Amino acid sequence: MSKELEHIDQLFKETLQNATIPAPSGAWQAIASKSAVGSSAAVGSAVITKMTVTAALVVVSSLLIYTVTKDKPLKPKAKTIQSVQKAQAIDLSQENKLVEINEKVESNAIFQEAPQVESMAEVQKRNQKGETQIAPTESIQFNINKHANLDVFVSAESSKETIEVKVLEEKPVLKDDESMPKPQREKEIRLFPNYFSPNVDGSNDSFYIDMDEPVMYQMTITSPTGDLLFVSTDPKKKWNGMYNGRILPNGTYIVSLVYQFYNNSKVETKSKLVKLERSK
Amino acid sequence: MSLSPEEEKKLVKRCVSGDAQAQEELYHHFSALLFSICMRYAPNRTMAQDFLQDSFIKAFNSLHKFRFEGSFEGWLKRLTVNCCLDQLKKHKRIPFQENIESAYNLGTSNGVLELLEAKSMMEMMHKLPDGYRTVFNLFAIEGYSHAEIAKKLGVSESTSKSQLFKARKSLQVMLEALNNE
Repeated sequence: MSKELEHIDQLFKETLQNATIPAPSGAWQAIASKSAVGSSAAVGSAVITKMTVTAALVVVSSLLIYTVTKDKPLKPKAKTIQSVQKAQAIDLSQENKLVEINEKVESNAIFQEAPQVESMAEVQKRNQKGETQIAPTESIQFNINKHANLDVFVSAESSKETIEVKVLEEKPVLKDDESMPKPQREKEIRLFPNYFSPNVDGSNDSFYIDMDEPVMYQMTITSPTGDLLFVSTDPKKKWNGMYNGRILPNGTYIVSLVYQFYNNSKVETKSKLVKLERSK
Repeated sequence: MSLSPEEEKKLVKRCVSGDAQAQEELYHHFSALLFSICMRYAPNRTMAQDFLQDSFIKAFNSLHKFRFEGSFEGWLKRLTVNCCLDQLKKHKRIPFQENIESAYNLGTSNGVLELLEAKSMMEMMHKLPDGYRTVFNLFAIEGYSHAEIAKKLGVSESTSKSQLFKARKSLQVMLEALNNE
Protein backbone atom coordinates (compact mmCIF):
# COMPACT_ATOMS: atom_id res chain seq x y z
CA MET A 1 0.00 0.00 0.00
CA SER A 2 1.23 3.39 -1.02
CA LYS A 3 4.94 2.74 -1.01
CA GLU A 4 5.53 6.05 -2.71
CA LEU A 5 4.52 7.97 0.37
CA GLU A 6 7.07 6.36 2.64
CA HIS A 7 9.38 9.33 2.24
CA ILE A 8 6.93 11.25 4.41
CA ASP A 9 7.43 8.74 7.22
CA GLN A 10 11.16 9.14 7.00
CA LEU A 11 11.02 12.91 6.92
CA PHE A 12 8.88 13.14 10.02
CA LYS A 13 10.78 10.42 11.82
CA GLU A 14 14.10 12.10 11.19
CA THR A 15 12.95 15.40 12.57
CA LEU A 16 10.63 14.37 15.36
CA GLN A 17 11.97 11.11 16.75
CA ASN A 18 14.50 12.67 19.06
CA ALA A 19 13.14 16.17 19.08
CA THR A 20 13.08 18.00 22.35
CA ILE A 21 10.62 20.70 23.28
CA PRO A 22 11.04 22.51 26.57
CA ALA A 23 8.20 21.54 28.84
CA PRO A 24 5.96 24.41 29.90
CA SER A 25 7.10 26.22 32.99
CA GLY A 26 5.15 25.15 36.00
CA ALA A 27 4.81 21.59 34.73
CA TRP A 28 7.20 20.32 37.37
CA GLN A 29 5.29 21.99 40.19
CA ALA A 30 2.15 20.26 39.01
CA ILE A 31 3.91 16.91 38.92
CA ALA A 32 5.59 17.38 42.28
CA SER A 33 2.34 18.29 43.94
CA LYS A 34 0.45 15.35 42.47
CA SER A 35 2.93 12.55 42.76
CA ALA A 36 4.56 11.01 45.75
CA VAL A 37 7.73 12.95 45.09
CA GLY A 38 9.97 13.12 48.08
CA SER A 39 8.38 10.34 50.04
CA SER A 40 10.28 7.16 50.61
CA ALA A 41 8.29 5.31 48.04
CA ALA A 42 10.62 2.41 47.83
CA VAL A 43 11.08 0.76 51.17
CA GLY A 44 13.17 -2.31 50.74
CA SER A 45 15.41 -1.11 47.99
CA ALA A 46 18.79 -2.65 48.34
CA VAL A 47 21.63 -0.31 49.04
CA ILE A 48 24.09 -2.74 47.63
CA THR A 49 23.22 -4.71 44.59
CA LYS A 50 23.94 -8.35 44.15
CA MET A 51 26.74 -7.69 41.74
CA THR A 52 28.52 -5.46 44.19
CA VAL A 53 28.40 -8.12 46.84
CA THR A 54 30.02 -10.70 44.63
CA ALA A 55 32.74 -8.34 43.60
CA ALA A 56 33.38 -7.27 47.13
CA LEU A 57 33.87 -10.80 48.35
CA VAL A 58 36.51 -11.40 45.75
CA VAL A 59 38.62 -8.43 46.61
CA VAL A 60 38.60 -8.45 50.34
CA SER A 61 42.35 -8.29 50.32
CA SER A 62 42.30 -4.75 49.08
CA LEU A 63 40.35 -3.58 52.07
CA LEU A 64 41.08 -0.03 53.00
CA ILE A 65 39.75 2.25 55.60
CA TYR A 66 39.04 5.87 55.02
CA THR A 67 37.76 8.38 57.44
CA VAL A 68 35.31 10.85 56.12
CA THR A 69 34.22 13.97 57.81
CA LYS A 70 30.90 15.17 56.64
CA ASP A 71 29.28 18.53 56.80
CA LYS A 72 25.79 17.71 57.89
CA PRO A 73 24.36 15.27 60.37
CA LEU A 74 23.04 12.11 58.83
CA LYS A 75 19.48 12.11 57.77
CA PRO A 76 18.14 8.63 57.34
CA LYS A 77 15.94 8.63 54.27
CA ALA A 78 14.57 5.20 53.75
CA LYS A 79 14.55 2.09 55.81
CA THR A 80 15.94 -1.06 54.40
CA ILE A 81 16.52 -4.35 56.03
CA GLN A 82 18.11 -5.93 53.02
CA SER A 83 21.04 -3.60 53.10
CA VAL A 84 22.06 -4.51 56.61
CA GLN A 85 21.81 -8.18 55.94
CA LYS A 86 23.99 -7.91 52.90
CA ALA A 87 26.45 -5.79 54.75
CA GLN A 88 26.81 -8.50 57.34
CA ALA A 89 27.34 -11.16 54.78
CA ILE A 90 30.34 -9.35 53.52
CA ASP A 91 31.58 -8.35 56.89
CA LEU A 92 31.73 -11.90 58.17
CA SER A 93 33.84 -13.04 55.28
CA GLN A 94 36.62 -10.69 56.27
CA GLU A 95 39.36 -11.51 58.65
CA ASN A 96 39.77 -7.98 59.81
CA LYS A 97 36.45 -7.24 61.27
CA LEU A 98 36.94 -3.57 61.34
CA VAL A 99 33.39 -2.48 61.19
CA GLU A 100 30.52 -3.99 62.97
CA ILE A 101 27.13 -3.50 61.59
CA ASN A 102 24.61 -2.83 64.22
CA GLU A 103 21.74 -5.08 63.41
CA LYS A 104 19.15 -3.00 65.14
CA VAL A 105 19.70 0.09 63.10
CA GLU A 106 18.27 -0.33 59.69
CA SER A 107 18.46 3.06 58.18
CA ASN A 108 20.56 4.35 55.38
CA ALA A 109 21.28 7.83 54.20
CA ILE A 110 22.41 9.22 50.92
CA PHE A 111 25.28 11.54 50.33
CA GLN A 112 24.79 14.23 47.76
CA GLU A 113 28.46 14.76 47.19
CA ALA A 114 31.60 12.78 47.50
CA PRO A 115 33.18 13.42 50.86
CA GLN A 116 36.90 13.87 51.27
CA VAL A 117 38.83 10.79 52.15
CA GLU A 118 41.97 10.28 54.15
CA SER A 119 44.48 7.55 53.64
CA MET A 120 44.60 4.45 55.77
CA ALA A 121 47.83 5.52 57.42
CA GLU A 122 46.31 8.71 58.64
CA VAL A 123 43.33 6.89 59.99
CA GLN A 124 45.48 4.44 61.87
CA LYS A 125 47.50 7.25 63.31
CA ARG A 126 44.41 8.96 64.51
CA ASN A 127 43.05 5.75 65.88
CA GLN A 128 46.20 5.31 67.91
CA LYS A 129 45.90 8.80 69.23
CA GLY A 130 42.36 8.02 70.17
CA GLU A 131 40.90 10.78 68.07
CA THR A 132 38.62 8.57 66.07
CA GLN A 133 36.55 5.76 67.28
CA ILE A 134 34.90 3.15 65.24
CA ALA A 135 31.38 3.05 66.44
CA PRO A 136 29.18 2.34 63.53
CA THR A 137 25.52 2.88 63.77
CA GLU A 138 24.31 3.26 60.24
CA SER A 139 24.99 1.95 56.81
CA ILE A 140 24.93 4.48 54.09
CA GLN A 141 24.62 4.46 50.37
CA PHE A 142 27.50 6.40 49.11
CA ASN A 143 27.89 8.38 45.94
CA ILE A 144 31.57 8.21 45.53
CA ASN A 145 33.79 10.48 43.51
CA LYS A 146 34.25 10.50 39.78
CA HIS A 147 37.75 9.10 39.60
CA ALA A 148 37.00 5.55 40.56
CA ASN A 149 34.08 3.30 41.11
CA LEU A 150 34.21 2.34 44.71
CA ASP A 151 32.05 -0.21 46.34
CA VAL A 152 31.80 0.99 49.87
CA PHE A 153 30.28 0.46 53.20
CA VAL A 154 29.88 3.38 55.43
CA SER A 155 29.31 3.26 59.07
CA ALA A 156 28.75 6.34 61.01
CA GLU A 157 28.52 7.84 64.36
CA SER A 158 26.11 10.66 64.02
CA SER A 159 27.03 12.52 67.13
CA LYS A 160 30.66 12.98 66.17
CA GLU A 161 29.84 13.41 62.52
CA THR A 162 32.63 11.10 61.57
CA ILE A 163 32.09 8.27 59.18
CA GLU A 164 34.16 5.21 58.56
CA VAL A 165 34.21 4.12 54.97
CA LYS A 166 35.37 0.70 54.04
CA VAL A 167 36.40 0.50 50.46
CA LEU A 168 35.94 -3.04 49.31
CA GLU A 169 36.95 -2.62 45.76
CA GLU A 170 38.58 0.09 43.83
CA LYS A 171 37.82 -0.22 40.18
CA PRO A 172 39.68 1.99 37.79
CA VAL A 173 37.37 3.95 35.59
CA LEU A 174 37.84 2.85 32.02
CA LYS A 175 38.37 5.73 29.73
CA ASP A 176 36.94 5.42 26.27
CA ASP A 177 40.25 5.85 24.55
CA GLU A 178 41.82 3.08 26.60
CA SER A 179 39.08 0.52 26.23
CA MET A 180 38.48 0.88 22.54
CA PRO A 181 40.84 1.77 19.75
CA LYS A 182 39.20 4.40 17.64
CA PRO A 183 40.02 6.00 14.35
CA GLN A 184 41.91 9.23 14.75
CA ARG A 185 38.94 11.34 13.88
CA GLU A 186 35.30 10.36 13.57
CA LYS A 187 33.93 10.83 10.11
CA GLU A 188 31.09 13.26 10.05
CA ILE A 189 28.64 15.25 8.01
CA ARG A 190 30.00 18.76 8.03
CA LEU A 191 27.12 20.50 6.34
CA PHE A 192 23.66 19.36 5.29
CA PRO A 193 22.19 22.58 3.94
CA ASN A 194 18.49 23.35 4.03
CA TYR A 195 18.56 26.11 1.44
CA PHE A 196 20.10 26.81 -1.94
CA SER A 197 19.57 29.26 -4.76
CA PRO A 198 20.47 27.92 -8.24
CA ASN A 199 20.34 31.30 -10.01
CA VAL A 200 23.90 31.18 -11.29
CA ASP A 201 25.02 34.18 -9.29
CA GLY A 202 28.05 32.30 -8.06
CA SER A 203 26.74 31.85 -4.57
CA ASN A 204 25.10 28.69 -3.26
CA ASP A 205 24.15 27.61 -6.77
CA SER A 206 24.07 23.89 -6.28
CA PHE A 207 23.03 21.50 -3.59
CA TYR A 208 25.38 18.98 -2.07
CA ILE A 209 26.14 17.54 1.33
CA ASP A 210 29.58 18.29 2.68
CA MET A 211 30.75 15.11 4.40
CA ASP A 212 33.71 12.82 4.91
CA GLU A 213 34.29 10.08 2.33
CA PRO A 214 31.68 7.37 2.92
CA VAL A 215 31.98 3.76 1.77
CA MET A 216 28.34 3.79 0.69
CA TYR A 217 26.29 6.78 -0.28
CA GLN A 218 23.00 7.49 -1.94
CA MET A 219 21.25 10.82 -2.03
CA THR A 220 17.78 11.10 -3.51
CA ILE A 221 15.80 14.26 -4.00
CA THR A 222 12.05 14.03 -4.35
CA SER A 223 9.24 16.50 -4.59
CA PRO A 224 6.73 16.56 -1.72
CA THR A 225 4.43 14.57 -3.97
CA GLY A 226 6.96 11.79 -4.15
CA ASP A 227 8.32 12.36 -7.68
CA LEU A 228 11.91 11.29 -7.96
CA LEU A 229 14.01 14.21 -9.22
CA PHE A 230 17.64 13.35 -8.56
CA VAL A 231 19.66 10.34 -7.45
CA SER A 232 23.36 10.23 -6.86
CA THR A 233 25.73 7.67 -5.43
CA ASP A 234 28.69 10.01 -5.62
CA PRO A 235 29.02 12.44 -2.73
CA LYS A 236 30.82 14.91 -4.98
CA LYS A 237 27.96 15.13 -7.44
CA LYS A 238 25.91 18.27 -6.97
CA TRP A 239 22.29 19.02 -7.82
CA ASN A 240 21.60 22.16 -9.79
CA GLY A 241 17.84 22.32 -9.26
CA MET A 242 17.00 20.88 -12.71
CA TYR A 243 14.94 17.86 -13.68
CA ASN A 244 15.10 16.47 -17.24
CA GLY A 245 16.45 19.78 -18.46
CA ARG A 246 13.63 21.69 -16.87
CA ILE A 247 14.15 24.34 -14.24
CA LEU A 248 12.21 23.34 -11.19
CA PRO A 249 10.07 25.92 -9.45
CA ASN A 250 10.93 27.49 -6.13
CA GLY A 251 9.70 25.35 -3.33
CA THR A 252 10.54 22.76 -0.80
CA TYR A 253 12.10 19.46 -1.78
CA ILE A 254 12.85 16.39 0.24
CA VAL A 255 16.42 15.14 0.40
CA SER A 256 16.96 11.61 1.67
CA LEU A 257 20.45 10.45 2.39
CA VAL A 258 21.57 6.89 3.02
CA TYR A 259 25.22 6.42 3.86
CA GLN A 260 27.76 4.32 5.64
CA PHE A 261 31.08 5.74 6.79
CA TYR A 262 32.95 2.50 7.45
CA ASN A 263 32.54 -0.99 6.07
CA ASN A 264 31.44 -2.37 9.41
CA SER A 265 29.56 0.68 10.67
CA LYS A 266 25.84 1.24 10.78
CA VAL A 267 23.98 2.30 7.68
CA GLU A 268 22.68 5.74 8.54
CA THR A 269 19.74 7.55 7.03
CA LYS A 270 18.94 11.20 7.17
CA SER A 271 16.33 13.25 5.44
CA LYS A 272 15.64 16.88 5.35
CA LEU A 273 13.57 19.48 3.59
CA VAL A 274 15.54 21.75 1.35
CA LYS A 275 14.24 25.05 0.13
CA LEU A 276 15.03 25.98 -3.43
CA GLU A 277 14.78 29.70 -4.08
CA ARG A 278 16.05 31.49 -7.17
CA SER A 279 14.89 35.04 -6.49
CA LYS A 280 17.02 37.82 -5.04
CA MET B 1 23.87 17.58 28.67
CA SER B 2 23.49 13.85 28.81
CA LEU B 3 24.12 11.53 31.69
CA SER B 4 26.64 8.75 31.64
CA PRO B 5 25.11 5.33 32.34
CA GLU B 6 26.77 5.40 35.74
CA GLU B 7 25.32 8.79 36.65
CA GLU B 8 21.97 7.77 35.29
CA LYS B 9 21.93 4.69 37.49
CA LYS B 10 22.79 6.69 40.56
CA LEU B 11 20.15 9.26 39.78
CA VAL B 12 17.49 6.60 39.32
CA LYS B 13 18.47 4.95 42.57
CA ARG B 14 18.25 8.22 44.41
CA CYS B 15 14.82 8.78 42.94
CA VAL B 16 13.69 5.34 44.01
CA SER B 17 14.79 6.04 47.55
CA GLY B 18 12.51 9.05 47.58
CA ASP B 19 15.01 11.84 47.10
CA ALA B 20 12.91 14.80 45.96
CA GLN B 21 15.88 16.66 44.60
CA ALA B 22 16.89 13.70 42.46
CA GLN B 23 13.38 13.45 41.09
CA GLU B 24 13.47 17.07 40.06
CA GLU B 25 16.87 16.48 38.46
CA LEU B 26 15.50 13.54 36.54
CA TYR B 27 12.60 15.67 35.41
CA HIS B 28 14.88 18.38 34.10
CA HIS B 29 16.96 15.84 32.21
CA PHE B 30 14.15 14.16 30.38
CA SER B 31 11.22 16.57 30.33
CA ALA B 32 12.06 18.15 26.96
CA LEU B 33 12.42 14.78 25.24
CA LEU B 34 9.25 13.39 26.76
CA PHE B 35 7.33 16.58 26.13
CA SER B 36 8.08 16.32 22.44
CA ILE B 37 6.62 12.80 22.47
CA CYS B 38 3.53 14.09 24.27
CA MET B 39 3.27 16.90 21.71
CA ARG B 40 3.28 14.32 18.94
CA TYR B 41 0.46 12.31 20.42
CA ALA B 42 -1.65 15.06 21.93
CA PRO B 43 -4.00 17.11 19.81
CA ASN B 44 -2.73 20.34 21.32
CA ARG B 45 -0.20 21.81 23.73
CA THR B 46 -2.50 21.91 26.73
CA MET B 47 -3.27 18.24 26.50
CA ALA B 48 0.40 17.51 25.86
CA GLN B 49 1.16 19.06 29.22
CA ASP B 50 -1.42 16.83 30.87
CA PHE B 51 0.11 13.81 29.17
CA LEU B 52 3.56 14.83 30.36
CA GLN B 53 2.35 15.20 33.91
CA ASP B 54 0.71 11.81 33.81
CA SER B 55 3.81 10.20 32.31
CA PHE B 56 6.14 11.53 34.99
CA ILE B 57 3.83 10.52 37.81
CA LYS B 58 3.60 7.05 36.33
CA ALA B 59 7.37 6.96 35.82
CA PHE B 60 8.11 7.89 39.43
CA ASN B 61 5.66 5.31 40.66
CA SER B 62 7.15 2.51 38.61
CA LEU B 63 10.79 3.56 38.70
CA HIS B 64 11.60 0.83 41.20
CA LYS B 65 10.60 -1.73 38.57
CA PHE B 66 13.33 -0.59 36.22
CA ARG B 67 16.04 -3.26 36.27
CA PHE B 68 18.81 -1.41 34.42
CA GLU B 69 18.55 -3.87 31.58
CA GLY B 70 18.59 -1.83 28.41
CA SER B 71 18.36 1.88 28.02
CA PHE B 72 16.65 3.96 30.66
CA GLU B 73 15.78 6.60 28.10
CA GLY B 74 14.10 3.95 25.95
CA TRP B 75 12.16 2.72 28.95
CA LEU B 76 10.96 6.25 29.72
CA LYS B 77 9.99 6.83 26.09
CA ARG B 78 7.95 3.64 25.91
CA LEU B 79 6.27 4.47 29.17
CA THR B 80 5.40 7.91 27.84
CA VAL B 81 3.99 6.54 24.60
CA ASN B 82 1.83 4.10 26.53
CA CYS B 83 0.69 6.86 28.85
CA CYS B 84 -0.30 9.02 25.89
CA LEU B 85 -2.28 6.14 24.38
CA ASP B 86 -4.04 5.50 27.69
CA GLN B 87 -4.94 9.15 27.99
CA LEU B 88 -6.24 9.32 24.45
CA LYS B 89 -8.34 6.24 25.06
CA LYS B 90 -9.59 7.65 28.34
CA HIS B 91 -10.75 10.79 26.63
CA LYS B 92 -12.19 8.64 23.84
CA ARG B 93 -10.02 10.63 21.53
CA ILE B 94 -9.27 7.84 19.10
CA PRO B 95 -12.46 7.62 17.09
CA PHE B 96 -11.10 5.92 13.93
CA GLN B 97 -13.77 7.33 11.75
CA GLU B 98 -13.49 6.22 8.20
CA ASN B 99 -14.37 9.57 6.72
CA ILE B 100 -13.19 12.45 8.74
CA GLU B 101 -11.94 14.88 6.12
CA SER B 102 -14.74 17.31 6.83
CA ALA B 103 -13.97 17.38 10.50
CA TYR B 104 -10.83 19.42 10.12
CA ASN B 105 -9.40 22.04 7.93
CA LEU B 106 -6.23 21.39 6.03
CA GLY B 107 -5.72 25.07 5.23
CA THR B 108 -2.22 26.37 4.96
CA SER B 109 -0.87 27.44 8.26
CA ASN B 110 0.32 30.96 8.65
CA GLY B 111 3.70 31.54 10.08
CA VAL B 112 5.24 28.31 8.91
CA LEU B 113 8.77 29.46 9.07
CA GLU B 114 11.16 29.29 6.19
CA LEU B 115 11.38 25.55 6.61
CA LEU B 116 9.68 22.69 8.25
CA GLU B 117 11.71 22.12 11.24
CA ALA B 118 10.35 20.26 14.22
CA LYS B 119 7.97 23.05 15.12
CA SER B 120 6.05 23.17 11.88
CA MET B 121 6.01 19.41 11.57
CA MET B 122 4.47 19.34 14.99
CA GLU B 123 1.86 21.83 13.80
CA MET B 124 1.04 19.50 10.93
CA MET B 125 0.73 16.60 13.32
CA HIS B 126 -1.70 18.58 15.43
CA LYS B 127 -3.90 19.13 12.40
CA LEU B 128 -4.31 15.40 11.92
CA PRO B 129 -7.30 13.68 13.49
CA ASP B 130 -6.35 11.69 16.57
CA GLY B 131 -6.65 8.33 14.87
CA TYR B 132 -4.37 9.27 12.00
CA ARG B 133 -1.86 10.90 14.28
CA THR B 134 -1.70 8.01 16.70
CA VAL B 135 -1.13 5.40 14.03
CA PHE B 136 1.36 7.57 12.16
CA ASN B 137 3.29 8.15 15.39
CA LEU B 138 3.38 4.48 16.27
CA PHE B 139 4.22 3.23 12.80
CA ALA B 140 6.45 5.88 11.26
CA ILE B 141 8.21 7.29 14.27
CA GLU B 142 8.15 4.61 16.94
CA GLY B 143 8.53 1.81 14.40
CA TYR B 144 5.77 -0.54 15.52
CA SER B 145 4.26 -2.98 13.03
CA HIS B 146 0.62 -2.86 12.03
CA ALA B 147 0.00 -6.02 14.03
CA GLU B 148 1.46 -4.45 17.17
CA ILE B 149 -0.49 -1.25 16.65
CA ALA B 150 -3.70 -3.17 16.15
CA LYS B 151 -3.11 -4.96 19.44
CA LYS B 152 -2.17 -1.79 21.32
CA LEU B 153 -5.17 0.16 20.14
CA GLY B 154 -7.68 -2.63 19.95
CA VAL B 155 -8.44 -2.15 16.27
CA SER B 156 -7.97 -4.32 13.21
CA GLU B 157 -4.77 -4.35 11.22
CA SER B 158 -6.55 -3.02 8.16
CA THR B 159 -7.79 -0.05 10.18
CA SER B 160 -4.23 0.63 11.21
CA LYS B 161 -3.11 0.45 7.59
CA SER B 162 -5.84 2.71 6.31
CA GLN B 163 -5.27 5.25 9.06
CA LEU B 164 -1.58 5.31 8.21
CA PHE B 165 -2.34 5.80 4.53
CA LYS B 166 -4.70 8.66 5.30
CA ALA B 167 -2.22 10.24 7.66
CA ARG B 168 0.46 10.17 4.97
CA LYS B 169 -1.95 11.59 2.43
CA SER B 170 -2.95 14.43 4.74
CA LEU B 171 0.64 15.25 5.54
CA GLN B 172 1.48 15.22 1.86
CA VAL B 173 -1.34 17.68 1.17
CA MET B 174 0.01 19.92 3.91
CA LEU B 175 3.53 19.71 2.50
CA GLU B 176 2.27 20.68 -0.92
CA ALA B 177 0.24 23.52 0.52
CA LEU B 178 3.42 24.78 2.05
CA ASN B 179 5.03 24.93 -1.38
CA ASN B 180 2.17 26.85 -2.90
CA GLU B 181 2.20 29.56 -0.32
